[in-house]
Amino acid sequence: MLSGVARDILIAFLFLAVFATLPFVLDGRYYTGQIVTIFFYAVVASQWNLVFGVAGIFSLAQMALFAFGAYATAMLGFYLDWSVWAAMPLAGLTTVLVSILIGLACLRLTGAYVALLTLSIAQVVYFLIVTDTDCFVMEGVRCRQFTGGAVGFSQFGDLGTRKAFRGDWLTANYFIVLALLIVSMLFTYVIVKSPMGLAFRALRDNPGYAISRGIGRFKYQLLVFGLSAFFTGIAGGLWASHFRAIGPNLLSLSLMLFVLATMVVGGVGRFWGPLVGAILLVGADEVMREFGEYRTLGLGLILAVFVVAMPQGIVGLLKAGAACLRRRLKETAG
Amino acid sequence: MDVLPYILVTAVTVGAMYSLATLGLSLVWGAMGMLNMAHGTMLTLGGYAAYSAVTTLGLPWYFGFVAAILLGALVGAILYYGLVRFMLRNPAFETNIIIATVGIAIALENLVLKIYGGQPLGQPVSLHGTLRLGVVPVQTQNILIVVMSVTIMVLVAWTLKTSRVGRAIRATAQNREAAQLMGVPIRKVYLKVLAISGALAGVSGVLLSSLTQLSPPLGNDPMLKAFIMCVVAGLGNLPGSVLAAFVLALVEACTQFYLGARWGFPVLLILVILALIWRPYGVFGRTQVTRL
Amino acid sequence: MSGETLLAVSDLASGYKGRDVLHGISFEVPEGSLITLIGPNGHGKSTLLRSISGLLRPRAGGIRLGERAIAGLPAEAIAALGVIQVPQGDMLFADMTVHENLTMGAYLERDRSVIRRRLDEVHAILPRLKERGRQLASTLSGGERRMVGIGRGLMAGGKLLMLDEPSLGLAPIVIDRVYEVIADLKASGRTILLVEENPMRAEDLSERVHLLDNGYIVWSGAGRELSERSELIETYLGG
Repeated sequence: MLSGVARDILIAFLFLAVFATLPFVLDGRYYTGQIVTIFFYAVVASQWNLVFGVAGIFSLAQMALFAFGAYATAMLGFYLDWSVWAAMPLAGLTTVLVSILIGLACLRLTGAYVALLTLSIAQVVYFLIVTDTDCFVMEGVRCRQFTGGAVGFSQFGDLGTRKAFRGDWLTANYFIVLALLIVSMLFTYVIVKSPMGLAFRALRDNPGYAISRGIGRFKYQLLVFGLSAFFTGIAGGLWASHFRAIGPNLLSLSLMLFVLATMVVGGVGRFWGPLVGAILLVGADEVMREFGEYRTLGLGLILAVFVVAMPQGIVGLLKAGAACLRRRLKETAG
Repeated sequence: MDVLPYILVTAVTVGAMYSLATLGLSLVWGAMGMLNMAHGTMLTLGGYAAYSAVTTLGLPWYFGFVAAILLGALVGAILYYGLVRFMLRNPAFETNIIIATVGIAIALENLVLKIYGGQPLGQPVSLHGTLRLGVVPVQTQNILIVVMSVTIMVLVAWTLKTSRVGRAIRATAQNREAAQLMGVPIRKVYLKVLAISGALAGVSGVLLSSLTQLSPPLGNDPMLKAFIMCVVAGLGNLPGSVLAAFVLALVEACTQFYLGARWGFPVLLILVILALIWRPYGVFGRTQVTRL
Repeated sequence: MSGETLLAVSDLASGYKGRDVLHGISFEVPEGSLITLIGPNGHGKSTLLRSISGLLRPRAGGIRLGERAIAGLPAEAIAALGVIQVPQGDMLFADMTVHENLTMGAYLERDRSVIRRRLDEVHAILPRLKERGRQLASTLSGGERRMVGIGRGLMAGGKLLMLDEPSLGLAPIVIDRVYEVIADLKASGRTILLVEENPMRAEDLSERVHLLDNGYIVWSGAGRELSERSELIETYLGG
């Protein structure tokens, strides 16, 4: 059968072929918009997967980084009138800095401790934004807090697609976000297959051996923290530019849970996991819209059930199934 | 300084409450290696259970505590039977259980939202009135909180030290395999530990909501604070985490007084991070030699 | 010494993560005897004891205690049936006192008077433990810890006592003392399964010695025979 890389290229082409034609086939804007959200979740989850799945660091700060990128872009546009296209790269870079700061604070610890601290940091930031009440700027009679407070930001600019493409702006945005997905997944692929990726996996699977071979745990973990933050921050900025409004809900536990679930359901540490997971979860979410208020409850239960019953995720399950099939074929043939 | 007594009262009250929560968390971590992210929700459920017992069922106020303890213990037991016991075999248990309990926590929080609505409710299980201690007027509720917390903690400590169950729990926490070799039924121990920590969380929830209000996300931030108090002491160190609870409650009270209420948690977190950079195993923690 | 088989291991295969460490192990422990397993480290001795104790589930094969099949039972059930292990490296409860450690050994016994009696017996054999009763286990010396471990095992009563490398990490003079205790236990009729890397001390005590190499039993014979087979010792145990 196909070798690893060849198989991945084939899968990539299949996905791309489908994604490229979808906007022209789908009935109406709603579904196109939903696929765009799939792309966004897949980007963040794929970068989180680098930290969590490949390097084995239990960080829960990824959404905080995503939110930082979004807020940075929005605030640059709002306060300094920057175009989002200029703001996004800067947002990406500053998110890397923030991520390294968080890493410096938390990575001396291991395992569950990191989860606790990163979660606490994310919650504290959420808390600080939501309780921000000091007026920074006055807009007529309305008060705006520096961080936007509970209301958040809007009217800070956009991608310019409405002006350029008029009615087709959504399709244009679709392809822009798809481009981000392609670039970030390519980035992930290169890292995973590189010696660096090997080092990350070694630290995850056999830390003692890796350290004895000169792979400094702290240094490498900080590195993956920084690397994964770039596209996360840009994704945040792009989210802000696409939806044209952001708020502290980006830091909410339920959103973090959603993205975490895409990673877990897809398969932690698997390359195609985040994309598969995002597709499945947004799909499931669509179905659960029927149930209204039980949506979050259902989501929580799905996550719990998956972790218990299928910790290797869908992709892991598929791989195991394929291996089993291959063995059976060999047995009947041989 | 005029404000010091007030700060102290707050610190002692809040500290007592947090130490109940840290006790439950430390117990579960020490005996099972499990970070129960649903602990905050058990807190919330305890508070609402008390509310329902008193408001809906019309029982006298102290029944609120009974209801909270029973529901908390029940949720703990269900967590064991429905979730934990299937996951113990997996070597990635430590990680997976966090994800699973986060899922359960959010599901349960949503359930509470569905049943009781999002509007904050007043906790009926509370005392009213003030007492004068020296120069400071202290709310009787605060005194109740401190007395209850300390009593429960002493009870738990005494149980752990002397009773057969307590010895089994301590043995499991200190060396699980040796405990097994001695015939300790560790799965039953896990069940009991989760039930006990659930009961402790339930009581904490009643006490906490009597100071603030009942709302679905009630237990989330306190759980995180309780966790980082445990971590800074050294996870699994019961007396250490109680001490950390009081010390950090004092820090929080001072910060909130001088800088404003919203800065309590952030300052706490920064201090804890600094402490952990200095001593990664916790201030009282023991460096563990890991067999690789 | 009745001579009846107390423990029978047949065709045992056991290991970790899908890989077998033990292959087709078979041997018996007659009642009242002292059987020793020797072999280089990492070749399965501890895995065998763990499998018997139920800490590890055997992949294949059987273990019988008297008439009863015990392979695959949970550890606490096997301990309740009287199979008691003094594990390698002591595994004491570090934050408990010597006294508490000893009483933990009798966890399965509910009758206080029986516990009291056993404690007195253990104190008689190991008087130091009585002196150090209130001391925390983590503050003891290596030899003292070993004694607490053995004492803890004795507190369980039990039918079969298994000792995993009782001489590990101890000074020769302390090892002497440990083996005095073991000899006394054997003389009082206890059934003992001993695991050691180096058999020197155990030779004279053992009715039978089995040599474990790479998870297989490669040689079995009477304890006294071993000293005559020096080539075995050199090949497998590095002289």
